[in-house]
Amino acid sequence: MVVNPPFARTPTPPAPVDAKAAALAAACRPGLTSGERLRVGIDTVEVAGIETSIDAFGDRFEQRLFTDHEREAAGRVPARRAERLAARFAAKEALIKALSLAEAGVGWRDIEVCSAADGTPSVRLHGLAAAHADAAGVAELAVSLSHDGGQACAVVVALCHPPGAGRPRGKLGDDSLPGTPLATAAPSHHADALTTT
Amino acid sequence: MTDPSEIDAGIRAVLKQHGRLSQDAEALPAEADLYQAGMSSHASVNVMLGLEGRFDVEFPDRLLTRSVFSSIAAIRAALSELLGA
Repeated sequence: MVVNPPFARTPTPPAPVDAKAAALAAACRPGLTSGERLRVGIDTVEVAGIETSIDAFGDRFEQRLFTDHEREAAGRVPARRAERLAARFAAKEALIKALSLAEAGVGWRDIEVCSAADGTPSVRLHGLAAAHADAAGVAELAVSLSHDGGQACAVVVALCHPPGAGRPRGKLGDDSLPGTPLATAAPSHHADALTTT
Repeated sequence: MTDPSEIDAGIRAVLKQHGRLSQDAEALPAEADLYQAGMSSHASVNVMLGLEGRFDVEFPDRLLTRSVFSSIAAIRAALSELLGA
């Protein structure tokens, strides 16, 4: 009879590489169900550059990039209008990156940054942008805006369902469902930045 | 304005004014990547608006892609389509 010494242990066979990868992936995806994934986009814009564009192109610049709602929201604080427009432009570019729409031919006005009464931003998609988001399985978006030192920036995170999983109707925020923004506010720890943009 | 050399000259003038390139737009090869030459996404918007003003055209949404503004040659191709050249 052979007695194992007290600290002797049977070596655990190394986990297969696939199992390790799966465990790591699960640890990195808390709260996500199988097949769901996150996509993220970020962009930064120089506020002075937006002012220069407005000076150079006037209303044509604003009308091409921003919806009436966005222009009205940015103008609520006239002294900070340029930085608020800059943050909104950054959000549009961040969403284009998050959903890989750089070659989709999406108009900037099809990506609309909305502002709640308390300043909390959200994103509403229209037209081709909404169609691409739908095709990508986007179920929810989060956006955060900020600015400092002459720079405005935005981050967009998209939660995507696996293909064919379906998506609750009424969240797309397209033209057929006015007033139903696709994106929700960023978590509360971004609240200070959100309410200043 | 449909002559390719005139179109290129107009594009280079707009790039010089609005592209915020780190290189001289006049000396840039037609196939050179404008984003690699320093053009930001915001600058590309200014370039687009500058081109619209100079050539009296309007870029439809379908042409608002990164690749359309990626080089002088690519911009020339899009403008040629819009100008019916």
